[in-house]
Amino acid sequence: MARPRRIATAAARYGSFNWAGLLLAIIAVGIVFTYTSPFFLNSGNFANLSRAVGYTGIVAAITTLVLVSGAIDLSIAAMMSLAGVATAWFLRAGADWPLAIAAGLVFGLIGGATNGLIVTRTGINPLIATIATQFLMRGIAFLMTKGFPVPMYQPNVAFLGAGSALGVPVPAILMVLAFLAVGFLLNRTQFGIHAQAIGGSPGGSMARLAGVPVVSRKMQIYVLSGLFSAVGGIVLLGYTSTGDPNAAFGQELPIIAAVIMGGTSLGGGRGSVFGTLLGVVLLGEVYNGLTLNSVSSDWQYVVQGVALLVAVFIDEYRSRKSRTESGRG
Amino acid sequence: MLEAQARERTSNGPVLSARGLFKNYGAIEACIDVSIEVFAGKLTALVGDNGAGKSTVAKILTGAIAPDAGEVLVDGQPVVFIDPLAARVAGIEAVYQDLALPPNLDILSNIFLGREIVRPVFGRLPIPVHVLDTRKMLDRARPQLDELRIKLPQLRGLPISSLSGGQRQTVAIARAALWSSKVLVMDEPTAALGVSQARAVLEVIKEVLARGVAVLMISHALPHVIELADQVVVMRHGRRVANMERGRLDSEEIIRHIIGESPVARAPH
Repeated sequence: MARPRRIATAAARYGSFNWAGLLLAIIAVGIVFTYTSPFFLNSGNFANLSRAVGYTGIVAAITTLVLVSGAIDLSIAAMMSLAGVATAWFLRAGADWPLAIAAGLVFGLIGGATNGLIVTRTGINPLIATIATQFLMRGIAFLMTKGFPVPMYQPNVAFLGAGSALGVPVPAILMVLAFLAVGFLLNRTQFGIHAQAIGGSPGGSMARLAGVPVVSRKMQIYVLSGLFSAVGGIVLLGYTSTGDPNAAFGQELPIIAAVIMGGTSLGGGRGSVFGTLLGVVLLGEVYNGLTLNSVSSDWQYVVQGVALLVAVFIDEYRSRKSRTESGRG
Repeated sequence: MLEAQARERTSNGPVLSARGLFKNYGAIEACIDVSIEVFAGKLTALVGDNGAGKSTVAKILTGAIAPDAGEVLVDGQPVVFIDPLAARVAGIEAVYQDLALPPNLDILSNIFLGREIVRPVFGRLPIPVHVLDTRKMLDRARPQLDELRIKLPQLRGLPISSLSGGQRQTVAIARAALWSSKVLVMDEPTAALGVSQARAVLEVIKEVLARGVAVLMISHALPHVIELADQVVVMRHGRRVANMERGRLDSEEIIRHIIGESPVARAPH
């Protein structure tokens, strides 16, 4: 029967991800860049770093929940640019800033709902479905702007991306709020436990048999993914003051890499928002340090590719370990 | 007069029954004109060789699959279960062979999955976020598990994947036993269990029966069947070939029905 000691250790390994490694990596990378660049350890640079991390962090937070539920959304970066473009477009058309932001968020809701409908109603593989909607969203953004970036001068919207409150950059505050919200949803609510249950078995089959309303939960998950991506996109718009159909181009994979590095499983069922926060900080720190060291942006692509491979490799290793542990039962 | 008859039927008649079930999977006839009845507080055993159609019948009775023809009745009233949740609302719980326990969730989450106890998050504001009331779920689960004499490790924090096969089986049965108000359907509840674990499962089944719940058990373990069953239904090649009552249960005869060597098997029932 039960051998409590073995079970407790297995659970400790499986249930709570060990963050010490990520924290150490963040510190180690920090030390290296401190030596290689005089600008790294500097409050101005920290503000820069937290702004850059902020808008991707908002999207990474919700992507944690998406991956835990066994889903995937590759349209997040395109959604960011479309929401930014939509907000800038409404501002240029003379809309008040609250209305323009609301419009950007509505684009996020519609984009997310579109993904949700395609995935739940047609059974198309979510990977392919959200690559397709990624093109759709970029296409609409290009059509709305005729291919040219839309300048944005509204100070309140700019505040979201470039402002500070009590000395803290606003994107960093919004990111922390996003992480708190997703952490609460994932761990404390019925919705969150259902998302975990769906991710716990292929296609959510076990969750369905147990009575979880799988289709409506998936729908809600994709809608939230679209909504958070829109928030990230509007913050990015505030940061750059430009509604750019090319904004955040190719950012979906670094965001997903950060989430996986943070201990969330690509196959679903396991994940932690705190781990994602550390993953986002680590990757943001690396890009920031490379830029400060005048490493060309070509190399940053190489770094992104390596980061993605490392993240997936670690995930594969962890999954195999938890499979062999549970297989002993 | 009619009401009196209806009452008569609900008190003595089967709580769950099926008439003339058919189910095909392509060319395979999993289920051919099968009828079955289960009664409150009684255990009906469904036996047969592999591929005889037992699991198909169990899944039809619990709403997991829809029959091609035939009807399912609860308390004598025809019903159509659109999914397992619908059957569950009618008080019918199931333990499938694959257990349907998401392995990443802990025991408490699995027991309450799809039926979580929640409280409103923002007071009376109409915000559709439902916060889990873990304390209430624990308070509700613990006494019932004690009453059913189910022993499990800590209910919170241990993912199912870290439990042994027997413990997982126990969690699945605990969940079904806790929620079943009318019928408990179990597909091979003691398969792959050790002797003492199987014994513990049988004790839980007895407790469930004592509560007046009808139990339908698919099993290959004939000693268990003979010990507990009030009624044994034998299936072969998708058909019901025998229906035996307690008192004349004999494992030799059951085996003959299962493998179809006896002329008794072809006699009408």
